[in-house]
Amino acid sequence: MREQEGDDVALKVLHTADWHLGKRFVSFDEADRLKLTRARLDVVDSIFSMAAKNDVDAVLCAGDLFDVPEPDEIWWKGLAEKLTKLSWVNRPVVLLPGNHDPLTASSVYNKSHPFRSMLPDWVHVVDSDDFELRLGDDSVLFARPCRRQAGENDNALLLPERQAGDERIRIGMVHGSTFDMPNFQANFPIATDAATRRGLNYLAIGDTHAWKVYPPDAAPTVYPSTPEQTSFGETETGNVALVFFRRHGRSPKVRRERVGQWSWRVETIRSVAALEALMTEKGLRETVLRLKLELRAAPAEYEQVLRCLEELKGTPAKHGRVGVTVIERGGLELDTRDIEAVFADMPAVVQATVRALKEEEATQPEVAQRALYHLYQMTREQA
Amino acid sequence: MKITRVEVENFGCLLRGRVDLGPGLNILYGPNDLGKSTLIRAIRAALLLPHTSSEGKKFAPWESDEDPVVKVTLGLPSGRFWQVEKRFANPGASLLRESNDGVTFNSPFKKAREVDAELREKLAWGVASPATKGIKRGLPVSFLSTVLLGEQANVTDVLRTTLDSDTDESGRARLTAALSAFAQDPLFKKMLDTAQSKVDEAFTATGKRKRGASSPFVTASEHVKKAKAALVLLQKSAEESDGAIRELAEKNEVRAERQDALADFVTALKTVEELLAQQAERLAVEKSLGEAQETAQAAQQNVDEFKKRESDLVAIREKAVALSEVKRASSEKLGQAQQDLRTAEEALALAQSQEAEQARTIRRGQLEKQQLEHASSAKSLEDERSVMERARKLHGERSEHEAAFEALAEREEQASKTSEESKLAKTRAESALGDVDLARRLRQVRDVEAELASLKQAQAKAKERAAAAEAARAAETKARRRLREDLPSSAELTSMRALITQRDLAEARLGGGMAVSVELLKAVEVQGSADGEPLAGATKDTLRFDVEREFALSIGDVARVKVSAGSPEAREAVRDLQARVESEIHPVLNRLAAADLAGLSMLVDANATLLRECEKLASEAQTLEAIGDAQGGDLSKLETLPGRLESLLKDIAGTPTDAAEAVLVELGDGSLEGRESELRAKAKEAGERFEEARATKRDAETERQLLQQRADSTNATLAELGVDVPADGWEAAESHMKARFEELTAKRQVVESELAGLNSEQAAAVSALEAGVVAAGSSLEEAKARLEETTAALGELEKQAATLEGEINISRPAMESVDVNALEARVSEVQATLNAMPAPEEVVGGEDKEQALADVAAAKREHEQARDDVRKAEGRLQTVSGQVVVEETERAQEALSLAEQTEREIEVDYDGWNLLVQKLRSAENTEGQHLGEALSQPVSKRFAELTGDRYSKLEVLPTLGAEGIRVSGMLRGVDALSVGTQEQLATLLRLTIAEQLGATLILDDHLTQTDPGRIEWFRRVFRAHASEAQLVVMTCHPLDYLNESEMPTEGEAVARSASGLVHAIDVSKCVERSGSSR
Repeated sequence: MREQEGDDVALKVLHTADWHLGKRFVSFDEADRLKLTRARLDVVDSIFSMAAKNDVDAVLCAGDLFDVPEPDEIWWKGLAEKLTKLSWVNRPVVLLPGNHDPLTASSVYNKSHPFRSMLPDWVHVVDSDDFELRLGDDSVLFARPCRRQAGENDNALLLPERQAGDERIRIGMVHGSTFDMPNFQANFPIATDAATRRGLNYLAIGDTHAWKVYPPDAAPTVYPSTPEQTSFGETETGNVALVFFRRHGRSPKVRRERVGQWSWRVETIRSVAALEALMTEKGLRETVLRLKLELRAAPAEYEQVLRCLEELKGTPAKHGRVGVTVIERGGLELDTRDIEAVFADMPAVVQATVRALKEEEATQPEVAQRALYHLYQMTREQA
Repeated sequence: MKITRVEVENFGCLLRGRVDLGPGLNILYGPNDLGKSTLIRAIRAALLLPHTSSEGKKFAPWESDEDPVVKVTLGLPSGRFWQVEKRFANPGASLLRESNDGVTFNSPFKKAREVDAELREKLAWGVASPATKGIKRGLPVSFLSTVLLGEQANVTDVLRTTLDSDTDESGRARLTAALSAFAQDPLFKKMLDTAQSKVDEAFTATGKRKRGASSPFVTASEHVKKAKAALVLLQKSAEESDGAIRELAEKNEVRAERQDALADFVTALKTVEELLAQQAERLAVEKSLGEAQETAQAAQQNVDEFKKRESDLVAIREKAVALSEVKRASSEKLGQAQQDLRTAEEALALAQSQEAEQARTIRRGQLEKQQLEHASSAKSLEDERSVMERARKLHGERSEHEAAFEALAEREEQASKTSEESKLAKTRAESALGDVDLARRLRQVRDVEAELASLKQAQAKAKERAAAAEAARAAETKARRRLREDLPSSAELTSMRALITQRDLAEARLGGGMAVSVELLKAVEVQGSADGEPLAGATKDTLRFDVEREFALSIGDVARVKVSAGSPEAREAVRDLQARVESEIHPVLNRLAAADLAGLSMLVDANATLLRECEKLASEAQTLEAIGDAQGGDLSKLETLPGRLESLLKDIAGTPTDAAEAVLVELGDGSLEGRESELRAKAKEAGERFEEARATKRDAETERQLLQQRADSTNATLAELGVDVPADGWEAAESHMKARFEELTAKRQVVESELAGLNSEQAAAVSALEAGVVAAGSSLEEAKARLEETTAALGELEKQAATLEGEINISRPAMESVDVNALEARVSEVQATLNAMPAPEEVVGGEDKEQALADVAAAKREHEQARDDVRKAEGRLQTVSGQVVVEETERAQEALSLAEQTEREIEVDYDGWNLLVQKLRSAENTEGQHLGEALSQPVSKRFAELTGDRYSKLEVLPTLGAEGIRVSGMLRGVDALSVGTQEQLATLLRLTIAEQLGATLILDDHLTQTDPGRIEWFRRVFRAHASEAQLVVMTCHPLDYLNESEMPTEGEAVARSASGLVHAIDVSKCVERSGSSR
């Protein structure tokens, strides 16, 4: 047991956010979209497992749990079923509507939505502006939902202030952008000192997909990051926050725990050797890889490159080495400088075709190179 | 595509007509001027001429004003039928219908110009769509339209026509595809076929990109369109969102400005109000101050008066006392004066006696003795004063010493205290350092324990992983044992499927579908089979059954009949393929006990699944082993850590750890080093303070010793002097000493004066005594007067005092209740309040406040307006998607970019294939294997056969124009040939092309100049051709191509040969010519 988890700990919570269930990865192939979308629901199991393993007192889900306010049934039903299977009793799970899944008359969080009727009674939806939930004897959670996709109010500063004599552990939960984030003005801005101003011991927030902890230590404001990355370029993702609230007014301890299965990478390939090196890497099954090809390859190398790409990405009949691959092959060129030599043993008519295609390179290089490669491939297949 | 029926109505010379054509050879015969060529023109018009063309007028009926109408039914390779109907009139019509059976047609699926576009694409004769810009109106002409549907008048036109007359590339593409079969190099041909098949996936016969659902371009383009549309929507939404956010920001800015302005005005109003309040408050305080001051002054005045009365009373009483004293003195003086007078009178009497002289001498001696005593007293006094002054000085020094002693004692005490404190602090810090050191060792112990626990956990996990890896390996081995190596590969399976498909297609090409009717003329046993299935027993006299491909009949002992559908070549192909299936597939199926390819496929799939499972298990095992390997290094610490832990525990064994535990709890994650350096600094500081205090104490002790010496000396001197500090102080002692000096001086003066008096003349003394008596008498009188005066004044004063005392007693209670100090304090308090009040910066009035109120009201109105604007902007913001749409737009942009990339990739790929095909064909032309060459070979071969090898080779240009004939190595133009030979060459050329294309060929009286011998040769060729493609021959001489037995019987219009491939059609029975009856 770690030192934070001793008798000193008065309350343990797991803080998570930005699940984006049902997110459609429109820029990916159909099969990959399914994988990535499905992964978002799968990671919820890891989160609940982490909560159980650490025997937390509550699970706080700080918004954007669904990608849209009215997700397809498969997503809300899937989540509800996962929650139902947990059969937790003394471990409340609190779901907060975010800017992606705001609390509206028709949203999944509305009381009339079948999602609500499926939820066990220990799952609480923040569906009022004065939401308050006792967590144990000396702790309390205050939360306020997003009611639309854009807004300029600081929901954190609208949480109730600590009254004189209130010695409880006070936790706040809202969704929005802190003032150091781009476009925060209309995205439910959150003052970075809101926790201190409202007398909170911890402010659980969601929206930004990267892990971030704002001081002071005595009242930290935390983005736990999205548990599964949603796009290339995001960093510090795949986590939840385990928060240990300690007795005697000592600062809470925040521990970052990884739950995400998928890692996202961007690789620029400038040589066949680099591509072959990539092929030898292990653990690519749960990698989303964007491959940018920037190389000029002689026909044999070109063929090797395509073979590697097929092996990495897979085919309808065979799984690729990499979980999800996006290939940008705009920078892949066929090096035709010595291509005549490749066709030296071919009939004269084929050689004449090669010469004609080389001449064509001057006006339409890409098409001519592709034609030359087709020809090369056919000669290889016939050989 | 085959023509199955031609129908005309009011078409040129034909009133109406309907001809049903069969597959194979159709000989349409009839006399001249019957309308055979009109039928061909009708077909040509139906297939090629837009109904809007003015050329349609040429088809106007000869004897009516009706609209000419033609319907041509076409059999498609798919088995379906199209019917083209054209009405050449203004307005005319073009309709294209479809049918499954060639009899019942659906509603038109194409109309007007779309009909021609559809037909031209389907025919691929090199005729561009009528919608193509720049295309000539009228009946289009192309190489293939000339070949396949040439006019009777120009049978040799084909020898002078080239592909250059085509208006699109479809004819060339079709010919190229068809004639490539003649290419010499099989590798080249295979490559060309492959490339062409790729091109066909994406491009139409005319070289345009396919736009159908199966087109790869369309799929990619649809993705791009969808992505673009999604992006546009999102961008619009994002713009709206941006606009709303901007507007809100602007409105908020305005609101903030207005709020600031309002705040400024409110502040100004407040300032005015504060100034007004300050002014009012100041006035009130000033008034209070005045009142307090007045009250205090009045009270003071009363008190002063009262006190004055009291002091007056005191003065009067003092005065009375003084006067009483004066009265007493006066009484005494009076008594003294009376005594002096008696003394003077006695002295005078004495002076005037002898006894007086003796008395004076005695007196002088007494006085001189007194003088000596007085001198001695003066010296004693002087000594006494000197001692007193010294003692006074020494006493002063002793006081200084005492004060110094006290200061030193204080210093010493302070130093001692500091010394004790710093010593204690140092001890504590050193003790805490010990705790910190122990805490460090404790922490090391815990770290090692934690690491050890973690490593043990990792070791346990490693064992679990190793077990899992072993299990995976075992499972893999087990699975691999289940793997079958005798199964065909996927490629082999694909090849088998292709073979089965080829066989099925070959069987399909056999055609078939026959209704067999056997009429038994006498009782005989008939047995047989249809498509391999035994026939049910024959009925009494008739046997009817349907058969698809083949049937066999055994008719008693008379005959055995076996009928197989399809051309010999097709049957041969089926046999070959069947044999291949038997030899290549069936053994495999039998060996593997698979019922069919589907079963085999399931086996292969199952094996592939098993292989994947093996690979997955191997991969899992490898991953687990790799993790185990990676962690092996860490686990090695398990060997050293227990020793280290034991050593650490030994170090701290027996040492109480409570304080160290407390340090760790207090520090949490904090650094022990920090605490240690902090404690060391404290210990050092305490040590320094301790040393400093000790030095201070030592200095004080030294100083005290010196001071003690000085004090001892002073005390000794004082003891020696024996002078204590006077009870009433040195000043009083000095005054007393001075008084004693003065008293002594006065006594000495009296003695001296008396001595001087004694030494004067007796006479002078007597007279003086007399004068003294007089003076004493005078003094007595004065004293009496003075006593009387004083007594009177005293009486007056006592009277005044009694009056005043009465008044004072009356005023006293009132005076006692007056607290002048309190009143003065009140004045001071009010004055302080007034002083504390800020000095007025500005003097304002009511009009200033009114102006400020007006400003605030105006600013409030503006602020409320701005706030309303903000609320509206917020309302708008509620309807937009904000950051959500920004994120979605980014994703959509990415999706569009990738869709465009994919589209571009597909375009490049297929453009590459297209370019490759173009260049292959171009190279083929330049390298000798061009279309002309390809066509030349079979035509030349047949022509040589026809002409008895008279002509060695027909030279055909790449554009398929006939360049000439090689005769003995020399190239001669086709014009050099006879007319008959030209028409024979033209027919051969057309026939060969139609064969290669599998297309219907229509010949209209094409061999009019040909001798019977060569006609006979053509007859054989035509019949052979009939098994490959439909051939329609219009002739006046049916027996050139038919046997007598093949001619229709009397009354019949059509006779079909037993093989079904030759159709003799009497046109005169199919058409009704204008002006004649049928």
